[in-house]
Amino acid sequence: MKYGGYTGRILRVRLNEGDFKVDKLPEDWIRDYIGGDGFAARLLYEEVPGRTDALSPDNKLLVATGPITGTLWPMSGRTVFVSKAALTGIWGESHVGGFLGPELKYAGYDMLVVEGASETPVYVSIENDDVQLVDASELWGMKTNEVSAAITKRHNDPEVQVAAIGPSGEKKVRFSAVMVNNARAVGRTGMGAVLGSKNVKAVAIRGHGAVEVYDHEGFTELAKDAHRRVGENPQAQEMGKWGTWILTAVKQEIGELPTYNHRTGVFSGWENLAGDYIRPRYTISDRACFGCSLGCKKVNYVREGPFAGTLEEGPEYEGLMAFGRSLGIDDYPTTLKANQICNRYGMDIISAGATIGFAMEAFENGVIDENDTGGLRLEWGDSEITIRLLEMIARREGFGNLLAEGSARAAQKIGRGAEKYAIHVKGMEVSGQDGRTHRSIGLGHATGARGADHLRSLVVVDQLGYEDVAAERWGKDKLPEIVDPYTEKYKATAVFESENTYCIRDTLIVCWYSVSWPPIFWIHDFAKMLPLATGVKEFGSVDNLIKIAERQVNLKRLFNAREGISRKDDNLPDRFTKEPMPEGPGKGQVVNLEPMLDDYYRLRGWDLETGLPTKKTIKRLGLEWTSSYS
Amino acid sequence: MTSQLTVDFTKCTGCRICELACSAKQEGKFQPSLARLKIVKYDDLGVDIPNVCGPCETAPCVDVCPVYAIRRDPVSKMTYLDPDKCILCKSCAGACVNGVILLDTERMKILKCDHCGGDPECARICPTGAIKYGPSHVSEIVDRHGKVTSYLKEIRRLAEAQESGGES
Repeated sequence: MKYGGYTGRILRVRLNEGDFKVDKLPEDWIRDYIGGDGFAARLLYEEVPGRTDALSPDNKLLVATGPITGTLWPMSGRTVFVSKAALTGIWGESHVGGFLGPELKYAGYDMLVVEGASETPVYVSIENDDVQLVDASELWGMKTNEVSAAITKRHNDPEVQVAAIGPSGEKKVRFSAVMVNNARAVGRTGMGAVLGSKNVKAVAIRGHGAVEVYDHEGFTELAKDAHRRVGENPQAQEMGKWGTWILTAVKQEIGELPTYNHRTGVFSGWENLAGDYIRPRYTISDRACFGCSLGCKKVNYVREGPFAGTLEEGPEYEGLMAFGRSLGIDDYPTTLKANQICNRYGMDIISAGATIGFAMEAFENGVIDENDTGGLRLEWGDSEITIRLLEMIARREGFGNLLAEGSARAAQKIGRGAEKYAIHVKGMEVSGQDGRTHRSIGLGHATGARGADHLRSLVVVDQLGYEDVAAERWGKDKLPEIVDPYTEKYKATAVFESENTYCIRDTLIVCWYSVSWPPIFWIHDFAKMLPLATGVKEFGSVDNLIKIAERQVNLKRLFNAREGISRKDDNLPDRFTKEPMPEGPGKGQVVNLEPMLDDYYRLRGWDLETGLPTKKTIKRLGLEWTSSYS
Repeated sequence: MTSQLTVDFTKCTGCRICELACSAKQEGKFQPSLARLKIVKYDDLGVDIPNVCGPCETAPCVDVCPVYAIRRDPVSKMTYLDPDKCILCKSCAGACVNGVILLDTERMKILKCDHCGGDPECARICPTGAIKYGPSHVSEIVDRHGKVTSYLKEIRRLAEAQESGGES
């Protein structure tokens, strides 16, 4: 391989034929897309035609890494799964931490493509050049942690990295996840269902090789300095202690703590779901993903009460939202138990919780009743019902079978105005933010390629008192409006520029934390590091990186356009645009989406009417090739 | 020569930055499989156990070496390999109770931690201070299995309590 950091090989597992092949990584992909998300978008656009059924053998599942995956750069152990999404039928991607991606690189591959479908259950076993499809009939039906343990035992190797689906993936629950290292989730958009539809129970990877960068000395020194910067950042250190729970108190204070299915932004029981309540009572261990000097993962144990004996990592801030506040539950052990069920059955926490919240609100308003639920009375704050319903969804039992379709599809099937309570964008449930008290995320939720997304463009510096950072990034002239969470002005600029940097982050691939928050590394840091890692001098130009990012955003947009997505789909539930925030610091606020959309489309070079890339934009980014694939 | 490489088992987060830094320095590339130390991970219990070539009360590698290529400092109890004397019998790799002596089958040589000649990279970079290097009289050795056994004890306590109906 001419360039550093890459293995130069794509492993293709062909389930129809029952064999595999290794393709060369095209060099122009490196220059145009860097890696990770970019490579995956390039391949998926070309190889999965428009209108393909996500759960058919024609869909493909990609596991991609970037040039610095498996190196010493901080938080560089992340991996992305990409596929046409089972949940939404549009662009699907989900990033995961843990240790899987580096192992794929050490095994000698930048990317894994799983295509076709197997007739019988199998798992994909990769050990360097030894690739096999192994019979998984004994593993079928197992929970994700059991699959990992069984494969580790079979391979007699504690270091084999397993990505597994649980019973939910087998049953094609629309928001089922793929689990890595027992508790790290390829959560969103339903990757578990895609693997399940292909009869693939797991991917097991072991690599003994190396990742070699272009300038080892220079890169290593810079990486060590980067770790030093993480170590000296006070917020990163706080994050290491409290994990993402740190956000509970912050979000309550600013009135953006989604509660009762996003009805309101403050929660009376928030203190029981805050870091300083949880940690001393439940946390027994701090853990980290590969190459991470921050270490936000917390292992927790419940000693007494109905969930005594529950030992599990998490839940994150989003899990505390999805199974706590959003359902009116202020009991931490319930959220840990729900988190464990999701991990073991393999389900996305955000969508699972939000779908239960949808059902509870629909029940409260009489849109559904006990005839629909099979006799269950759904009431806010009921831990027992929540856990029961979650297991029913995981196994597609009774009323759970309907909810396993996700809130948007379930609402459509129910009819009777249930759609009002399905809080989603493009079919994906809204994460734990609220545009009413944080305007830029309203725009981010509406425009995210995979639906209501908090990871591709969530601006943080406009909200938590980072005025100096905002001034540096966007210019003093845009203050104070750009850091005012209650105004639409300049929010498109903040979203556009953040999204571009996050795109580069997702090509490398590094974690959200240390880039998006706290703001330690930004695009100029990547411009400094990438030429040392790869030897591609053009990566040293920030302007070029921005262009690569724009190319990636536009390619995903074109993928979605092929599925019929346009401006009409870049919307928000009425909850955020028509129902004023009922209480708290942001009382009375609503999102005025349209002006932000106009601004955003202008910055992106998209047509204001259709919301799609103009011919000029397509040409400027070198995406004309897309027109030859339908 | 009296410094020790020690581990506080309660502080390790399992990030494996030490493995990366070790292979970066020793091999000039990022290859954890050639690192001279090893993090063993228990995803089911949520613990991570670093295994380093630290002070050894009983050093089987020293005892088993037929040519005295490995010796132990009597004060620090740290072991040292003289690669020029090694006859590649591989006995030490099998005998090491920490599993950190490796045979590199490509280059046919024994890989063993040399503590980077007195300034080990793993201790320099460990973000939590779980791996330390310092004079033996100040270094604390934290009970290796304490973290795991306290878990298991707790799980047993709970099981017994549930059996006797003491807790719901």
